[in-house]
Amino acid sequence: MSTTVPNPQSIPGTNASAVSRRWRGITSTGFSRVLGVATLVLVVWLVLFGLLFSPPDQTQQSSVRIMYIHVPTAWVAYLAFGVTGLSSAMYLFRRAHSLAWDRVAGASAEIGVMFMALTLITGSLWGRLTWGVYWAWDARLTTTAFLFVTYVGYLAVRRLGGSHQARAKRSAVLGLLAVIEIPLVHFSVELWRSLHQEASVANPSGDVKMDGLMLFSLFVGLIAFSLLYFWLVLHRQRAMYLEDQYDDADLDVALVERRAETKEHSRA
Amino acid sequence: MRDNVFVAICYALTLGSLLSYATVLLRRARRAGRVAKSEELPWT
Amino acid sequence: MTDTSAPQPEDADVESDVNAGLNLTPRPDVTPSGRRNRRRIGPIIVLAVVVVAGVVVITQFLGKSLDYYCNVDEVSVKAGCSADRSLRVQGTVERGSLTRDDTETRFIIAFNGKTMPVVYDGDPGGKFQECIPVVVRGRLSGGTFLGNEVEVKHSNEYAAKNKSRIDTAESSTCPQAA
Repeated sequence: MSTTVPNPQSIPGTNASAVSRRWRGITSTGFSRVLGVATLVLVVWLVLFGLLFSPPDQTQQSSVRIMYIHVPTAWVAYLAFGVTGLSSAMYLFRRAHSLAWDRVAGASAEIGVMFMALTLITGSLWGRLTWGVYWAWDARLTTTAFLFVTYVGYLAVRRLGGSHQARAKRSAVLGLLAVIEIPLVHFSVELWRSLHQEASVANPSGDVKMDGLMLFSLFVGLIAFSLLYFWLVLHRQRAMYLEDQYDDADLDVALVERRAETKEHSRA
Repeated sequence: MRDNVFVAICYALTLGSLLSYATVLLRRARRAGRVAKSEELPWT
Repeated sequence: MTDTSAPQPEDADVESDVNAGLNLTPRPDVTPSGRRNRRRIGPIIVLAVVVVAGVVVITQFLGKSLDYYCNVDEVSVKAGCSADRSLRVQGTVERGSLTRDDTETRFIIAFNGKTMPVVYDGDPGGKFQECIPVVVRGRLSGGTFLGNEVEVKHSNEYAAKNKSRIDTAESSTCPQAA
């Protein structure tokens, strides 16, 4: 995981501009800061509406409040893996084979895996409260677990080593293949009989059977986590750019060493 | 009672892990960025 | 994002004297950190775990049969729901049928006009109550279903606590869910 973090001894002395950059955040821009503030405000809203303003459900009581984070984390994971697939396609099929697309794909998958893990954990806590069990091997839960495992594999494949272009190529193929699983996960509750309920909002019939304030809380959650996702991807792919540059700088150091070596040999 | 505990765990775990991910991300970016030529970043 | 591993043509012109006789043979263990050349073991372990986990997930799913349950009216009718094997049966707990004592919970589940009495030794967890759809795993024995696992299946409808309390409380049958 942390293979690309430089060791502190090799870091050159910081000058005044570097210090000011440090406090502003090297991956921050004006836009990302506005986005960050908006995200924070919406997350506070989510907590207020999810825990205080929304009513308890008639059968689920207060465990319904888990839905306001469970569903948005699942949605963000779908979104993230979708972006990974799209960026993989952009990398593979564009002439330039730009590593920028590869980094967006990798950043998005990493964030998606985290959101998917949160979906599984919050879902199983909800399952314990409502179904009476933490886990059941039914269609929705199984396909979600499989999706999660697939993208953990994708992240491992990204770290197998080799040049940046080699990394980009092999992970782009995988990113493009893995995205096919998403419709399978979403429609698994329609395809098979599942313990998991059908979609309340994004269902084929289109009618939403949910109390108004509950629906509003859910939408606050969706928007808050979507904004958070964009903020995280923005920063993560910029951090990846820096890490890639650091790897390249490492190669430069090696070359300099070899040149010094050759000079010494010729002098001797 | 257990409902409320589980709900609290869910909110705390989700928001907590997202926040720590963001923090670690910014710190790692800063460390990698000290070696990079920070004057030539594509987004500045 | 130029590929720095290949020398650029203009570099070669300017630094030809510097690079003359430069030994570029890979030496995995003497690069400054060794990161680039070392075979990474961590990701390979993760990949192996991922493949095993993927296989486990798929076999668990297929082993439990694709459909997670049979509805009450399908027992010994639909293929895969024959009464002589261990089954998962889905139905709604009928109003007024629920009795509990120290060791057992008895209730009747209904679906599509057919009913089935269930005995479960223990107290089902979750939001178990009357008028809620449940999935019971167990075995049919002499017309009674001996359950050893009860899961509450929640519908995709959400309503505020007090709204529909009055109209459901007075009727003797469960409010009809779609």
